[in-house]
Amino acid sequence: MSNSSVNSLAKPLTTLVVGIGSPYGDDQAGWIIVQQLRNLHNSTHSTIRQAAAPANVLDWLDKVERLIICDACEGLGCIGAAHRWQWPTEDFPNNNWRGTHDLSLPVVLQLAQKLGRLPARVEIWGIEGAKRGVEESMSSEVSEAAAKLAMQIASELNTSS
Amino acid sequence: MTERIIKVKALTRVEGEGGLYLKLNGNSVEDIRLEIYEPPRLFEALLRGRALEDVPDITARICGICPVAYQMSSVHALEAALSVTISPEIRRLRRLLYCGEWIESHALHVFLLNAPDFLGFDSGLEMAGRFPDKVNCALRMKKHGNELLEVLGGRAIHPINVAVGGFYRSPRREDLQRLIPDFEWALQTAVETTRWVAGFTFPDFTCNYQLVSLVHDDEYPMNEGYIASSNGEKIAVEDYESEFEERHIEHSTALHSRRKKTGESYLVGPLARVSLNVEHLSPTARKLAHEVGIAWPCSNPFQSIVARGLELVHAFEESLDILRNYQSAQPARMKYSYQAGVGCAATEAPRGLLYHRYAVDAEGKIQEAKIVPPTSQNQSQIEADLRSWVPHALSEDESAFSRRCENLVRCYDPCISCSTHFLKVQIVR
Repeated sequence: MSNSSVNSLAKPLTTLVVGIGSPYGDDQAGWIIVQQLRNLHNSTHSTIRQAAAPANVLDWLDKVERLIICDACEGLGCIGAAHRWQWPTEDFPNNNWRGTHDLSLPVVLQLAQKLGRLPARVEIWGIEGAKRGVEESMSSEVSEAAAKLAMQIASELNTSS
Repeated sequence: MTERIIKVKALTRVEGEGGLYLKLNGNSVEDIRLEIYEPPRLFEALLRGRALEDVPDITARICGICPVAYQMSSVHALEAALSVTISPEIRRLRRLLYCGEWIESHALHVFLLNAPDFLGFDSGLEMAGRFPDKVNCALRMKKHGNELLEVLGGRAIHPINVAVGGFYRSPRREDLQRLIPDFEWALQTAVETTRWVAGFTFPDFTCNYQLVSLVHDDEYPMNEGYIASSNGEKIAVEDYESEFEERHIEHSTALHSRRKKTGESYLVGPLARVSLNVEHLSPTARKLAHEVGIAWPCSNPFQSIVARGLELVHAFEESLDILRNYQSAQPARMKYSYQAGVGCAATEAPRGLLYHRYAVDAEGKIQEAKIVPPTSQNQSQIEADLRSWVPHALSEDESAFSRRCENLVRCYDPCISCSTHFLKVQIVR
C-alpha cells in the first residue's frame, strides 16, 4: 500500500447513535430503530444507545465526533414519513418534539452547543408518529419506516467504518 | 372593583403539562385553579389482573424522571402483601438505587429548572451561557446518578433489575466501586452547590405548612419508616388512607389530596423531608444544614432549592458509604409463595411521599391497585400558597405577575406526568 493511499484512509469518526422514545405507541420509533441497528451494524467506533428523554444524550457526548439521533416527531407530515436534518440548520422544526421539563430535543442540542459539548457532526432522523397511548401499539407505517431507517443508517455507518 | 382574569398559558420547566387560572377582583383573589386535564389513574386499571411480578416494571413507566420511586413503593407494598422480609444487603442496594434517582432528579431541578428563577434567566439554556461551569457540574452530577441507576437497575431508562423480593441480579462489586472517584468529586460539588443556592436572595414569604414526610428512627427516610407531620403526629403507613384522602376537583383530572379529618392541605417533598429529618441527614449534609442560615423546620417554599441541595449532598455521601462497603447480596432475591392479601408501602420519591397499595389473589394476580403520587398530594397546597403569594405580585404587570406565579409553582418541582400529562398557566384579572 502506498503512502498516499494510507493517508487517504480517514479514521472512522467516533459515532454515537441514540434512539429516543418510550414503550408507548409510535413513540417507540427511536427505540425500535436502534434495537434493529444493533443487529445490522457493529463497530468499535460506534455506540448505540436508547434514551427515554433527550436530556439523556448529554450524558454520553464525551469524545463523540458524530451524533445521530432518531426520534418520533409530530405535525410534520403523514404518519410514517421520515425526515432528516443536519444540525445546526435554520429550518429545524422546534415545536414538534417531546421532552421532559421543557428539555426538548432542540433545547438539548442548543444546550450542548452552548456548553461546547456538541460533536461537529449531528444528524437527526425523525419519524412522524400519531399514537402515544400507554396501551397502544405502534402504527404499521411507523414500524415499516423504522425498519427502513435502521437499514439506511446501518448502510451509511458500514460504509464509513 | 375591577375584575381581572389572567391567563398564563404555558407554565414552563415543570414535568408534564397543565394550566393555572387566576381570577382577581381588585386586590382580592376570587379563584385560583391549578388545572390538569388528562385522565388520571390509567395505570391502576392497567395493573388489574396482571401478574404481581409485572408491577415494578409497569409502574416504573408512570414517570420517566422517577421510575425508581414507583418501583420501590410497588415492591415494598407487594412484599407486605406476601409477607416477604428482605435481607439487609438488598435493603442497602435499594437505598443506593434511591440515591441515584434523587441525584439525577435534584441535579436537574436545582440547576436547570429552579436556579434560573433566582438568577433572572428565562431558561436553563439562557443560564448556561452565563454560568457554563455550573451547568456542566449539574450535568456531570446528573450523569453520575444515571450511571448508578444503570449499574443497579440494568439500564438508566426504566430500570428492569428491580424485583419483588430483591433484584434479578446482584451488581458486581467492581462495577459499583469504579464509581467511587466520580462520587467523591460529586460530593464536594454538591456541597459547593448547596452553599451557592443558599446564597440566593429569597422572597420573604412563609406559609403555615403542615409538613408531611416519612420519618425513620435511625436514618434519613427513603423507603421505610412511619409517616410524620409537623403537627407531631406519627402515623403508620397502614393507616395512610384513614388519615389522607383524595378528592375529585372539577378543574383537575388529577385527584387532590387532603387530610381526611380536617380537610387541610399539606406539603410533601424535600422541604418537608429535611425539616422533619434534619438530624438524620448524612454528617456533611447535616453540618451544612445548620450552616446555611435556615432555621429548620423551614416554611418558605422558595428555600426548597436548598433542601434539594442538602439531599444531593446526602445522596452522594450515603452512596459513597454503601459503594465502599458493598458486599454482593446473596441471594439477590428472597423467595416467596403466592398468598391472597393486601399490602401497602410509602417511600420518598424525589418530589415527596409516594403511597402504593395492592390487593393480590392466591394466584399472584393484582386485584386492586392504588397509587398516590406526591404531586397529587401537593396540588391543594400549591393552590393555597399561590393564594397567599398573589398579593406580593399584584403591582406587577401581566408578564411579571405570571412569571412570579410560575416561579412559586416551580419550587414544588411538580411532576404532572406521574398521574396526568398537562400543565399550562392562565391568569385572569
